[in-house]
Amino acid sequence: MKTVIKGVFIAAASLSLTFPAWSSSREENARAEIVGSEEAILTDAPAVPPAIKRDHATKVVVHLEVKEVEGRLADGVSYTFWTFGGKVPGKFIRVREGDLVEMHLENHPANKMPHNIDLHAVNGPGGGAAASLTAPGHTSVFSFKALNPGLYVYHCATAPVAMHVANGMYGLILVEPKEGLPKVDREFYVMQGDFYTKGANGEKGLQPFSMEKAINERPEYIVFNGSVGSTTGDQALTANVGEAVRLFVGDGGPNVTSSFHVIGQIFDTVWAEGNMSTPTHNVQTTMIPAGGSAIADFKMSVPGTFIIVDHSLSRAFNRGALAQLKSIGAEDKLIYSGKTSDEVYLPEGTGARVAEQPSKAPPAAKDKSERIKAGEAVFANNCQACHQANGEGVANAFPPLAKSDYLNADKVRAIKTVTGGLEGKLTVNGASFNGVMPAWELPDEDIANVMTYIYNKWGNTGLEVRPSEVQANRVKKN
Amino acid sequence: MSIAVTAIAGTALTAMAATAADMRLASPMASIPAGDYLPFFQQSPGKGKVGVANAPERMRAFRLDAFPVTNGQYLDFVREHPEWRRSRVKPLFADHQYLAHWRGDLELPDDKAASEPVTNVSWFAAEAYCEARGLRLPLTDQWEYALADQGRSQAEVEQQSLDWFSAPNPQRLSAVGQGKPNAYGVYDLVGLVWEWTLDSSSFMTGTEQRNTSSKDDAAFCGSGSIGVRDAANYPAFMRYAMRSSLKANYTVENVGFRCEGDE
Repeated sequence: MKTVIKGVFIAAASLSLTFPAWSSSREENARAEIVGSEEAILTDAPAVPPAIKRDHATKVVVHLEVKEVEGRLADGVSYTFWTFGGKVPGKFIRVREGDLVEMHLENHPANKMPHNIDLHAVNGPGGGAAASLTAPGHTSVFSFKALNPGLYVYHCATAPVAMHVANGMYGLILVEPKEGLPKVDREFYVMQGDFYTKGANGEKGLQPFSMEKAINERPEYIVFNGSVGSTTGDQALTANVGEAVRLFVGDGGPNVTSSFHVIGQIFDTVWAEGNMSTPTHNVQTTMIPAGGSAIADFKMSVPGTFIIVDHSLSRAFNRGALAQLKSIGAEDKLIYSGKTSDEVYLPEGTGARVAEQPSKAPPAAKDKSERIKAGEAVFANNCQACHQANGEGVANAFPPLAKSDYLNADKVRAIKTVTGGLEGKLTVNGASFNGVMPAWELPDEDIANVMTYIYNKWGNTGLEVRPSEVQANRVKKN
Repeated sequence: MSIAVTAIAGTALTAMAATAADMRLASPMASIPAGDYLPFFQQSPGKGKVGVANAPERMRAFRLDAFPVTNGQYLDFVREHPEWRRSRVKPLFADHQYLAHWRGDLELPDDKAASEPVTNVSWFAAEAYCEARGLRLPLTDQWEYALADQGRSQAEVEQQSLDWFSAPNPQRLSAVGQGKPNAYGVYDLVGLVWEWTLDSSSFMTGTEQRNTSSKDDAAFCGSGSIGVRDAANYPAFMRYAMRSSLKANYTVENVGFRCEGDE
């Protein structure tokens, strides 16, 4: 079977056909006979439904429930998300070209809003939106033939469309080519979206939607899979060294595109914009439009933590568009020596970093335990991306805070490091680093809290840092 | 469509005459004076012409319930009009969720519910209630005109709407009249429940909310952003989208109503 396909492909390529030999034409897919019926397997990110083994078209029934739910957008920040299936992004749908897809859009009776669905995989008015406007407590049904293979965004298209999308109403549907995609060991679902909260980035509490910021395209958060830190630490994607990994990546927007990049990886193959006809190879960063997608395949050659970012970098480091892929296995010193210290991507120099200033001063902690608690959120929002949730840092890149000799030796120096930044060679716990720590322009209270948190975690000395000490030792901005 | 719908409702209601009990349904009404009104959806400038240039419409004076109709008031109505009790209502006029939150035909969930807005009522039921009072549902334009309040406090109204959208539905609704009234003395137009209007289900659109080209008539341009007065008014889009998602026999957990009458 494989050989035959390969032969056909070569013949096609030699004729300079741009359409791949393993895809059928729209007309062929329109005519493809429907045999049987099945319920679609739907998954929440980062999971992806299993590859389709069928060798014929069938009727695929998709039940997608719209739910308006309050959830976590960042630590201490909650938001009322409007979702396809309870989470952001919406459920991943996987069908095969030629399939007849029967969509059941169910608007939960407890919802406040009418909703519909526009699937970019549909050839028809509104991509299905014209057939699916649904009041709370009702279900709309329509069907479409999957004529064009590809990875497609779906989203709510009820007016005001930008608001429905800004609240998280998007997901991906894969229309798999007849012959399937090349086999890989692991597939993941990652989708970027921008959020417009009334409060500034980091401001705590249930944040209402800001219409003004949405219209001006000024998001407070730009995140992968629905929240800051959705895919870091314990929730990081994981793979083993030697495995082939595939990312199905979408950008829900509503407004911001993605310069999609995995730090320390080169994509062996990218199906740009989710199109199946022209895979490209050896890609560093692939551009994903709002309302668009990409498929990126690569092999895990060495162990380590690989950081997934929107390489429009303020979005990654200031707005949240950062996820992690951890690879476990044996080192290969030939591929990556692990001894050089200049390979890690650091976007900004000392002092260039302007931390997110909460528009309100944080409430004063009454005692050390309150301070530790408040500091945890500050850590998660500002420090964790580099120093990691377990304080271990990343070898050769970001120094550890856990049992850190540098940290525990000198509290005043530590305050100066946080407030003034640090650049250049540094030895922590016997390991050398040569990077940049930005200066954090956070209020005294936040800095005192986060430092107290750090000092009381991971075998550190348990000191308390008070706001007055931060004020006295703060490195002033020029 | 709306004419047909009204005709059906009218037939269903011809047998009803106002009775003493109907008088109990009376509730305070606000006087809305005549004035100019610029609809959210602009009229088509006509074939071959570009742009929209609408003159404001003249609205006549009318009266509007100061509060949404409550469960308590609606209970009085179904006592007097058994055909609108939950067990007897015709599916054509109300779907299976009709008054689903009540404990029985003539039993509210609890005493508190009497002062909360009635929901899970269909357009037919709402119109029947209003007709029993010698009133009717307000036209969408009248409802929007009352909300526009001659332009007073519109930023506040918009924010109130957005805040309401940003919170999940509460476990139960607040009593009517808890907020502050607008300058006409009308309470709860936004932030409590959606409300039926006389032309709710006919007003809109195809359900494709961005379509601005397939029909000449601006009303059919749905909530596309061309042909609306203010494309940055998200809450207005949301109200029109909600209305267009409803059919006349639908009953929804957060859709209530109030009545309108001549001045």
